[in-house]
Amino acid sequence: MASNYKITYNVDMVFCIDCTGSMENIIEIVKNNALNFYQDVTSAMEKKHKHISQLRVRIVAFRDYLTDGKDAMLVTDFFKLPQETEEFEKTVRSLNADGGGDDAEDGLEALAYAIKSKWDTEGMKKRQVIVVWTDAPSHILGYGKESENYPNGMASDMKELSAWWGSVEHPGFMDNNAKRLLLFAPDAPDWNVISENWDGVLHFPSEAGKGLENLEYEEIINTISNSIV
Amino acid sequence: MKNANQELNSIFYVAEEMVNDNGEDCFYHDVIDNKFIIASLDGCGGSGSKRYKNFSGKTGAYVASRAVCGGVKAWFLESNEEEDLPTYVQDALSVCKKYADKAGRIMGSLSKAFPTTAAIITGNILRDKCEITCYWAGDSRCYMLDAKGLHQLTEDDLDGQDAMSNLTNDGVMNNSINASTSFEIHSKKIVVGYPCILLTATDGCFGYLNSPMEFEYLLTDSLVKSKNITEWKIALNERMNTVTGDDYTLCVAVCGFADFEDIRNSFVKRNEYVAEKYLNSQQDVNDLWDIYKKNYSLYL
Repeated sequence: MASNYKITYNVDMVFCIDCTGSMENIIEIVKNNALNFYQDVTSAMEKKHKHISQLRVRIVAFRDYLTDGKDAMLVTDFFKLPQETEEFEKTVRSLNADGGGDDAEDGLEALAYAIKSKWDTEGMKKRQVIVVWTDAPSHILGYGKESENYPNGMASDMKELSAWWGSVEHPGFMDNNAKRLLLFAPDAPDWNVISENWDGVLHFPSEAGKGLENLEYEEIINTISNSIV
Repeated sequence: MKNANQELNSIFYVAEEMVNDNGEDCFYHDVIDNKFIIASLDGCGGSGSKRYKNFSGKTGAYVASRAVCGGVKAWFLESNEEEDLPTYVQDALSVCKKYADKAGRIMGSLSKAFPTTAAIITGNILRDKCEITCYWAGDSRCYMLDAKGLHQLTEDDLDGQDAMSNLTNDGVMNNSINASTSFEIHSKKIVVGYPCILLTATDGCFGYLNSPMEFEYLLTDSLVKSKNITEWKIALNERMNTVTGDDYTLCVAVCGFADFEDIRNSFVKRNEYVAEKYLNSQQDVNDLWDIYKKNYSLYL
């Protein structure tokens, strides 16, 4: 019998963090949220006897291609935790709020980078979690493509980005059973479009998680960590 | 000669919660004349993790399984007509919505109001057979165990291909009873011969094992090592408690046996066979599943 049998999870998380000037007064809160989030999810899973055999976390820090040029997108590889905790924390701590130009930012490009991460495809069970923290609406995809730093091969519009996210009928770049998207973002375009139309999404409509109550945070952590929609 | 209702030997449940007073499972079993019901419900802890101050700070999942279970009980006692069940369930959900706190701020497809699964078997006990109807939504299951083995009677509302892939792939649930979106309570009528054991189970009973074969072995091995129903209940509880990582609820209706010795003896050979053929084999578990699932899926 399977008395010593343990279901194990490989968990990948990508944190997309708005680092524009308007985030100045809350960037430290967001950085702390990012540093605590993976620990809170993993401990919630452990409480449910869901044992994590591998945990990796990646950072995508975003601004505005037209305004910030080469500083518009900082993308790291996955950090393996706990082995690379120091490097991961150092990277998060180094983020600063600056630039950004107009109200909207290039958050959808950051989300596109996150979706195309090199997700772990091994392991008994998987979790692939993207978390977005922003206080701004998003530009439409391609808004900044006049910038010489704008990436080649980016999703051309929301329809293509939705295909990258995928659905039961048409899987995208992520495992349809494992994927979760958590938005700490305003109830504004195009975050609200994603919230209403994509599978596996949890949207807390506020400025990057500001004003989040304990009960709401517990609800988010439990929703992300529990297995079934 | 026995009366029809004497064909129901025993009806019982085995249940445990991971955190005291916060378990999200619920159950109901009852017998009226020659009709019986067993029902296991599992509030969906992920999509229903919102806590409601108006419900003593309990989660939507906790409230949903209990409220819907109450609706199922009222339906069985007052109607027991297949077409009425959705109305009783919707009425229960309406009460939840009516007394719930104002809607929370969290949006998105992962969050649902008062979501729960349900696996229900109602039976009409006749002298030589039992007419059963299975009702279900979500990933809780109805089963029948007879001398030929364990048979899953209901199809999981999961995106996975079968019971084995649903164990390993962590499939997304595509249908659950809830107060936010439309849902379907599936139903299926089956006539079963005696003797047999009917079961309803939440995923905490079977979802933490290596394979469906191990769940059958858990059921039969605990049975053949027991001397009476009480010992079997205790053994079932101990074994599920050892392997699970979730609340679990198993409701059991034992039909058409002469006595406990007859129940036990009916599964001795099958238990030995499953142990030898499937559990102690060196073959790949997926190859073994391919063999096992023909009989296991007979009613799907």
